[in-house]
Amino acid sequence: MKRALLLALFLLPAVRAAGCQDYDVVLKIEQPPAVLAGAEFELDGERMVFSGGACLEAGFGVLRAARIVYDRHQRLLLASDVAGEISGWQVKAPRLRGEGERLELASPRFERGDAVVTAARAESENGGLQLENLQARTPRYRFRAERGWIKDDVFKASGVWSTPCKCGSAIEISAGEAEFAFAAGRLYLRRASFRLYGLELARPPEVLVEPEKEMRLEFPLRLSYGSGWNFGVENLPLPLEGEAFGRWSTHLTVLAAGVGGPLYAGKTESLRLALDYRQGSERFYFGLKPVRKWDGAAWSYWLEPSASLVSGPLRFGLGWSAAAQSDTAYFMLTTRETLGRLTAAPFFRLSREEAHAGLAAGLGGELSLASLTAGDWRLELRAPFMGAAYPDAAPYGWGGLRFEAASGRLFSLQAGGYLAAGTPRYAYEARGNRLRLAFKLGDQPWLSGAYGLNERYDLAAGAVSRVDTSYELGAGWRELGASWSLWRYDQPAGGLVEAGERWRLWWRPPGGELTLEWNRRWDGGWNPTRSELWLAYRPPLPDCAGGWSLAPSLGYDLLGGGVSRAGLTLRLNDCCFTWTLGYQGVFNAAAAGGPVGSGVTFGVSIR
Amino acid sequence: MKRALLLVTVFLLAAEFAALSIEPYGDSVYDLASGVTTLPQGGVIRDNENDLSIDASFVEYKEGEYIKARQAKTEAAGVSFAAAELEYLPAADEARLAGGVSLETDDIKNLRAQKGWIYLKDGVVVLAGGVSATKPELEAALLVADYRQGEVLLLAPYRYKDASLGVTLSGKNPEKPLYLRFDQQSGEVTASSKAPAEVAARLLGYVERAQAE
Repeated sequence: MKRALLLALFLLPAVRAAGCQDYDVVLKIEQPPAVLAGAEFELDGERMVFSGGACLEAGFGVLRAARIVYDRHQRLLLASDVAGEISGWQVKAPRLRGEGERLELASPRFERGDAVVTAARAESENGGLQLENLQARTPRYRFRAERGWIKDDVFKASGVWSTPCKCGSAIEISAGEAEFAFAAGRLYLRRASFRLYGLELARPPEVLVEPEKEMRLEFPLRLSYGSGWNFGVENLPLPLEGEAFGRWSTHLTVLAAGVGGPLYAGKTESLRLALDYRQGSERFYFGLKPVRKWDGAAWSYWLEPSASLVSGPLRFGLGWSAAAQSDTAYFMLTTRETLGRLTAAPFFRLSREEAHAGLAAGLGGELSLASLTAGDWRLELRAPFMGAAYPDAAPYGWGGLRFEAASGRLFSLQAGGYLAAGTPRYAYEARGNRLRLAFKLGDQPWLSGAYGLNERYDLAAGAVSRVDTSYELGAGWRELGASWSLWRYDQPAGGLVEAGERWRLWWRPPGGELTLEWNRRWDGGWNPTRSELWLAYRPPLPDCAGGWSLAPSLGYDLLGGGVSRAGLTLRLNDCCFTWTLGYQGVFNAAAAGGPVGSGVTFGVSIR
Repeated sequence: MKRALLLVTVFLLAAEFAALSIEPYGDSVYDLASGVTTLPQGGVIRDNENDLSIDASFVEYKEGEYIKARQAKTEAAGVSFAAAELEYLPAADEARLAGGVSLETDDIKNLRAQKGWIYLKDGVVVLAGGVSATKPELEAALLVADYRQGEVLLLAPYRYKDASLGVTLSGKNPEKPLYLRFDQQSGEVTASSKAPAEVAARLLGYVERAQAE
């Protein structure tokens, strides 16, 4: 027989059945327009049966089922438990029915990545699929639509309702129509309406949603009470046309602080007004803060400006020096270039700071001396540097070496040493002598340690004003950990300014944390100024509507006795939001002159 | 298709030698040594029993052994048949067709193949090489039919189009011929990619026999 078959003298023109062409028997039908195929074929009476693995290809895509039946006279097509791929979606449906020109899927389910779409039914139309009463779920959104169309790489829908809420509909975005470009992962909602608790807040002509991207929506309303009421909006998004929902470039802040409450010398009240725009590496920020301060007899008033502009090589900034009670400003031209192993950022800067005003020109950057990777091992040796010249002062230079070695998660070592020559005039380039050593050994358990020394400049005096030293040790295993740290500020000539120490023990089960701390401080004469035990527990918040947690914290003053601070935070989930209500009372200041008082904070974020 | 097969049957039965008479158009040359008769101007092979006659432009035969005919054709009883070369072997009860075969009836239009074999006693025909027809629109690498039982195997690659139903059936797996069965009474056709094992073995046996020659 083989020989006979080898004598088959010509090949038939291939039947156009791209998706089903590998099947043994292929049937092209005109009504509904489709290609049926299967491993086995039977014609018995009017019924044509494809079995042993059957396939259907229509304009919208390819579906497979164990068995497909076609009645050639009634032109009726039937299959059960079909599955396949349509325009990049994995599709399953319990029933497929084709009659006349139409192909219909009952209760189809479409999956693509994390997105799931279900519909009451789907019907072939113009080479695509029309869906009715569809519901969709992505990691961040739920959708409903009266009708949808899938064709090629585009999904369109009409009568759309969507919400970023896990359940319920506190936030609703509805739209007359929607278009989902799969390749770009973008959903355009047109003739949209944005509702909060049923109240329509906006009717944007078009909203762009990126459902596959993780989104953090911060609730912009602020309300708390400390030494007066703090309230307003912070980073309230101002959506521009064409921007993706949750990815707004422009934000507004109007925040009042310290309003009302008891009057005492030094009390300040302020209103911060700010507009912030960020797009890629461009940034524009403009803020004004009118402030008034009670000196015990009268109010004093001033206005703190705050602005910055980053655009290409141009930098401009306005600020406020609280110490000098005057505004500061700078204008800078800079760029960052990489030339082989050298990364260089030349700059030209005109600035006015509390200590000096004038011009500076310089070069900052880094030279990569060695960079090795072998298996899990990674070694790097770099030489950061900064130099500046001034028309009215001697030049200043700073540089050193930084070494890093690491092997996976089991070992890491960082060491760096830097020396300064001359005196910096402006904060931008000011860096002092520094030394830092840090290591981490092991993963579970782990051991870490660090030592740091950092000289700080007083730009007005043109000299080192303080030497900060810190020591840290830590160890942990799984959810348990312990650490010790000590910091001290010394005068450059010797002599302690202030020192502090912290012992900490923690237990971090998933989503929660229990912490015990012992915080101590000393003044320049090593006289203890503070010794506090602090215990805080933050239980995991159940991820369900109605889930809640209560996080208490308590500090006890070992020097003076009594409770030094106390806090309680209630977190409560409803369908859509996590509500936070917190109380924090500080009864003994952590440092002399530090804030004392009670505050209530209120927050809400989308779950 | 059923009627077409029956008509083929009629033609094939007509070739049975015993009932044949041969009438020359011109000369009739008899070679005493070989016993072979040649009709260089052709002639008519007539089946009196079935009232069927085949015209040929050249005929050569040896009584009881073979008849060879070139440009053989007949047009009778709604059947139009032609073969470039026809050879009938009464001993083997077999007719061989070569150089292009065509058949046309009221139901089958323009059925063509490059060659064919007819096993008269068994009622089996094998058509090979570009088997095609325009009505029904049919193409196959090879066709084997038991015309008495109404059973046909189409060997892949094959394609069958029924314009009235708007369907085109095709297969390209040489291991899976399409089995067609024509009900002798109703003319109903059943089809399957799974031929009964006995039928497949028997019919494919003729294919092997034909191809071996």
